[in-house]
Amino acid sequence: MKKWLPLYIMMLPGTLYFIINNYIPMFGLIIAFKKMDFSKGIFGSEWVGFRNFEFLFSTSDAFVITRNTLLYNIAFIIINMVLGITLAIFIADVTQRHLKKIYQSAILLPFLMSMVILGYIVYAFLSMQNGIVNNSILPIFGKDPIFWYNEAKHWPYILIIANTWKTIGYGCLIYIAAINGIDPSLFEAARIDGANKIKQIFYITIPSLVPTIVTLLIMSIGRIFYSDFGLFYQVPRNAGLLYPTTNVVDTYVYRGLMELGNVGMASAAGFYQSIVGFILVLSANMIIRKVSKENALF
Amino acid sequence: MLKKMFSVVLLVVVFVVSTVGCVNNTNDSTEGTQGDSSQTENDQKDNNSTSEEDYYQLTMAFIANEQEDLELVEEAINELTREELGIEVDLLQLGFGDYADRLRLMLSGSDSLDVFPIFFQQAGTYVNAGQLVDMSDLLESHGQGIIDVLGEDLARVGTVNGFLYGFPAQKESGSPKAVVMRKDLVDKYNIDVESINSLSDMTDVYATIKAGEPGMDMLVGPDTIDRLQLVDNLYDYFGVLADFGQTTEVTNWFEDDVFIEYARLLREWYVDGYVMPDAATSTESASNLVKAGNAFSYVSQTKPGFLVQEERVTGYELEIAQIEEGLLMSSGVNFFNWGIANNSENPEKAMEFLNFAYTNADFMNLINWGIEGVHYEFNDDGTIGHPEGIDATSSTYNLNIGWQLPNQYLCHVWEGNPTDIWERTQAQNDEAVPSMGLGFVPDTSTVANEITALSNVRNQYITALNTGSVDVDSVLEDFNSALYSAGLQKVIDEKQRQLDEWLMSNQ
Repeated sequence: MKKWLPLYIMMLPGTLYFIINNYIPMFGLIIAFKKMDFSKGIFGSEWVGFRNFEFLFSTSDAFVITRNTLLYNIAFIIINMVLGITLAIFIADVTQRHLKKIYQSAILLPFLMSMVILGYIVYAFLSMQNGIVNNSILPIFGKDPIFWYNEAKHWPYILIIANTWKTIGYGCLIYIAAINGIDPSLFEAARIDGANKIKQIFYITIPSLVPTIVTLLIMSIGRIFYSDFGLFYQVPRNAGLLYPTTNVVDTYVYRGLMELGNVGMASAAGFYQSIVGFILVLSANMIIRKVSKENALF
Repeated sequence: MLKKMFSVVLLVVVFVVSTVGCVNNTNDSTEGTQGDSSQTENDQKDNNSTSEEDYYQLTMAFIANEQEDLELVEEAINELTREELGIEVDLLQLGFGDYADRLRLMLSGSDSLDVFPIFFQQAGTYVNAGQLVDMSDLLESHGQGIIDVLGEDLARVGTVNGFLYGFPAQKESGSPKAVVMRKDLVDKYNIDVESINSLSDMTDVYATIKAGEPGMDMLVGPDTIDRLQLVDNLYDYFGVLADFGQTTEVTNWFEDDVFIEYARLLREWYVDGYVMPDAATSTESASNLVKAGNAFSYVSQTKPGFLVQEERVTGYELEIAQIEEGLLMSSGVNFFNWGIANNSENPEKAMEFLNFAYTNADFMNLINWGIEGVHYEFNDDGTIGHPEGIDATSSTYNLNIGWQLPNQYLCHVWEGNPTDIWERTQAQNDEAVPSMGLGFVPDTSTVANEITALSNVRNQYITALNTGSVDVDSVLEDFNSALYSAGLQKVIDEKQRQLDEWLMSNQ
């Protein structure tokens, strides 16, 4: 008892933070089931059951935003992992110190950029009137200009490329650190045994990275039903025609609350996000536990 | 053991936090009520002190930028109203950004509030929540001046479900719609502006100018069809009175032949390169795009003094060609209506005050422009301007919200505008075509879910159709089927039912 007391005291601030910030606001979920009337307050407002959810499911909106959020996040997780590890291996093998530093910083720089700026960079490329792609790149190949902001079908690719460019540096940096932490004697032994570079990567580097990969994976799966609002709102410039491929839960809730001003319905969408996200995290964890027990979250 | 210990600690923490929360809450609420009660005591004291002089304390809210000399003007107004009405006015300035929230709080609390401007989209909510006073009878007994100023019909135009919630401000309501063009290009290519009578007449004009100025956008603006106001939108475009409001049948605007025709015209222009390619995602205003020098024209509602205003914004000399008549419809006329809050302790006094506000020129000038000699001075031509040495930034009182105030026709004319601006504005309103639904205000509270879903659908498609960015035939089909699956028919039926009732009771 005495032995653990200091640890509990150390835990207290974090626990308090969690309770105040993450648990107490949960009562706000009841707004999703109320006809919110500001004059009566949250508790005084009338209960309406699932009526706030009706608008979500009366159109195909719920399906579209769920599909978009999940598929984009899955794509982001896989691409960031594969590309991140590849780049990390390349950069870790650069022998000149100052070049290595430059590469590392260059790849991290976009991560520090605001999404609004990314939105304008993409616009500079894709603007249908003055964009680089339509005016300079496509004519070289003899292709007609493409109406990027009118055609939803291009956006899965654009958003994935934009997101990869922006966020890859972060994961890459963690992988580089992990690679640097691998015992050099392993590589030395492999070289003496005659293993070439490829063999070293597949038999030493990647197996040593597995714990890092799993940690990052679980962290991203925990947020798989949350999307980067800036990416999906700023980059497509809120163009209505692109909603089929750019509308995700967060942008949907934002539009509901800001433009339509209905608190109850926006809360209903947020509630839906929480429930689906909760189920996904639970099932992802279950799968990981089946595959390798010690890596599971709980 | 460890687990047990942990859960005990957790329980204690939860308990402590929740009680702390409760204690704080109770503190807050008692403090709140104490604050409130002390305030009411103060109010009562005020009332007592004034009741000796028999002046009713009336609170008038309005939406404007903050004014340094508000109290000075308030005192000047009070000199007027004490004598004329036996009341003292407390001017309450609300900011443009937060007025809706503040009004909602005031209306749901016990703050003193008598008269205030009601935004048309919020009227239904207020009425349903019982936050306003029905002025039907008050208008008869205390509102003769308002009837004289607005006329019987307009005085009763702010009626929802038989509940008269507010009177419209005197302003341009049925504005004619026009194409605004750059004069230098019109002259250069010898365009006959007189011959332009409809939007489709612009096709030849655009063809001529585009041939000479290939890099230039002929038409800019994200909402060209909406701006033409071709139907009575019945507040939200979900179920409209088509045919320029000359029908009593509520129909779907987005299946209407007129809408399809205009959407096709814009599509044609877009394909031919007349419409700015990025129009659907551009966040710049049309006049700013003209100012940037690469745009030729845009569609806009006009009003007297409009050309001067737009030339100042764009920095170019402009020509306008009127292409549609003005349409008088409820949502335009009722933009901001003056009504009485349920908080009012004496609605009759409030009504007397409104009647006074609609008819008294001294009051209107004081509240809009301030005190003569201090906040404005007369020019030789009868217009007014800032006094010597003062400009827009150093002015201590200049509300300049005539469009919101009860009767700006009584105000002096600000310099730069035509001296007969109010005659012209009135003439413009008189010429406008009244919709058959003018005076009908739909109550959509029973279909709020549908309206939200419909707004989502409309947001997705409307800008693209308004700018011609998409193939009309395929997209319109998707758009309409999405609208119907979001409950458009239910909203149309509800509006039709209410409209029929309204027509019956108004025959």
